Amino acid sequence: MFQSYFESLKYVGHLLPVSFLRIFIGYFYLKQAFFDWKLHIIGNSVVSDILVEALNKAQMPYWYRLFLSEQLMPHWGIYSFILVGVQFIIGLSYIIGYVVRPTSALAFLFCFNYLLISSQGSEFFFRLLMACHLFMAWVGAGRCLGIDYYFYKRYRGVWW
Amino acid sequence: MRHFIGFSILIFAVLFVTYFNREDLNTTKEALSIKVYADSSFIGSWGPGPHLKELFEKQTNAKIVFIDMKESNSLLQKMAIDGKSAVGDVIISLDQFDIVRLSELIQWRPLVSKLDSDASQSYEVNPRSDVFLPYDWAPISINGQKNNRFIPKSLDDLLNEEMKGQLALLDPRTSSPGLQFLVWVMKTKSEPEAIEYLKKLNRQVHSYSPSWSVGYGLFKNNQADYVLSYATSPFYHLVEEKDDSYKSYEFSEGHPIQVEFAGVPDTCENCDLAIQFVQFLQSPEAQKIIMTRNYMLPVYKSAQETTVFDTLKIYKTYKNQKVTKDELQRWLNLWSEIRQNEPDSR
Repeated sequence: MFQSYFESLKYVGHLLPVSFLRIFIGYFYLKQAFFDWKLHIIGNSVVSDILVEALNKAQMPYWYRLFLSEQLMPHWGIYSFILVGVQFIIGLSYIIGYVVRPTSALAFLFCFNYLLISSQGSEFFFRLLMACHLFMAWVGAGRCLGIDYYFYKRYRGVWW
Repeated sequence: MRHFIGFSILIFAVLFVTYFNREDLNTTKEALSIKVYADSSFIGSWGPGPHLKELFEKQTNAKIVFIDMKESNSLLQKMAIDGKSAVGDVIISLDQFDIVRLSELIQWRPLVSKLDSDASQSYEVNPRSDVFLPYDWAPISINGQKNNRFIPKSLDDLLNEEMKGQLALLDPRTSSPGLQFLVWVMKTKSEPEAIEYLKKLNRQVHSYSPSWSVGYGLFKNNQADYVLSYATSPFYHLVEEKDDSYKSYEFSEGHPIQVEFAGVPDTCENCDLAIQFVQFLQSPEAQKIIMTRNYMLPVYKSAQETTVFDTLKIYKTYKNQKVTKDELQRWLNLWSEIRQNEPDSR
């Protein structure tokens, strides 16, 4: 596995710039995950600032507002744990290049959720991030400088 | 897909194990702690926060946990939603306008200052002196550099041709000094005059920055010759950079003052300690730290004696600085309307 990690440079070296982008985004998610872990899980924060921001947002589907206020906020402890867990999954997966395609799909949905609730100022950022996730899934960014290459060689298929 | 599910389960398993084995669950609480919300300039390594924390912890054996308050508006809304389970024992970095606009969102504990009234500054701008204690203040002024050819002496001088495109102002919707400037104009002029003045000023200013740091950055990088800031800002350059070329200008109308306050929400966990911390902020030792780190004037008058702050000429302040929530909202709407309707002249 270790050998194929570097071997990927030889055979799919053209994906190297994409791999750097993948690792950078992974680092960003991991950093955010550690920050949120400290704030929401260890710090027992009851509601995230972004949710308060979201409830002030005028343009939001009614059903989603209802979901936020009736479901997510009363059970923020559970949801925050899941959200932080997802951030860890995306961060680690992107950094080591393992199961990048399904993770990108998950990350795309994750960003879409934030796109719905974030303020107008952050919308562009989340759109850009969604484009990056789509791109990662499309090219199979874990195949270069990633563990995915090892499995891709053995199993092929759309998951690698 | 099996790999992805396995990977996800593994991560959540690790998180569960970490969560249930974390240190604070396994050890008994050795010391009381309070959670203090403050803005980043207060709790940053360059700000007074870390020094105050060290001193307070030494005096009381209690622990202080600082939490960065990104925006007072959303923080207080969040606390109002959280209700009894809200986190936070002390909130600092609130100015008089924050109190006017937001203090009703949550309930506050009554506070009594331990400072002798003769030794402390009193402020007519404190709208709720029963629940908020001031810890620093400074007059707002227009600042410039020594080599500026034109010296403004009144608000009307800001419309002078010499200052065209050279004044960095701040957006009153997002910046506290920016709001101070808007109130300054509205309070010292009649409303029609103020509207006319703001329209003319829009064609005159370099920019309206979203925050003080952005606006001051423009000034520091010589993109603007004048900036809206604090009368104490030149002391920063004098003390930290040994540069005496920065000046603040005295205006004939009298200046607004910004006072920063601390309060204890009613939902506090360690309320006695929280009240003690707010009172500590007014103590002579804490006042010296706040003054020299925040570059704001102390509320305990003697703290500035024999320091560079003692040389500050105290500008005349304009009378009746109190404002109501409705006035603030109406003036902000008026300002936004003027901004939207004005074509950019540059």
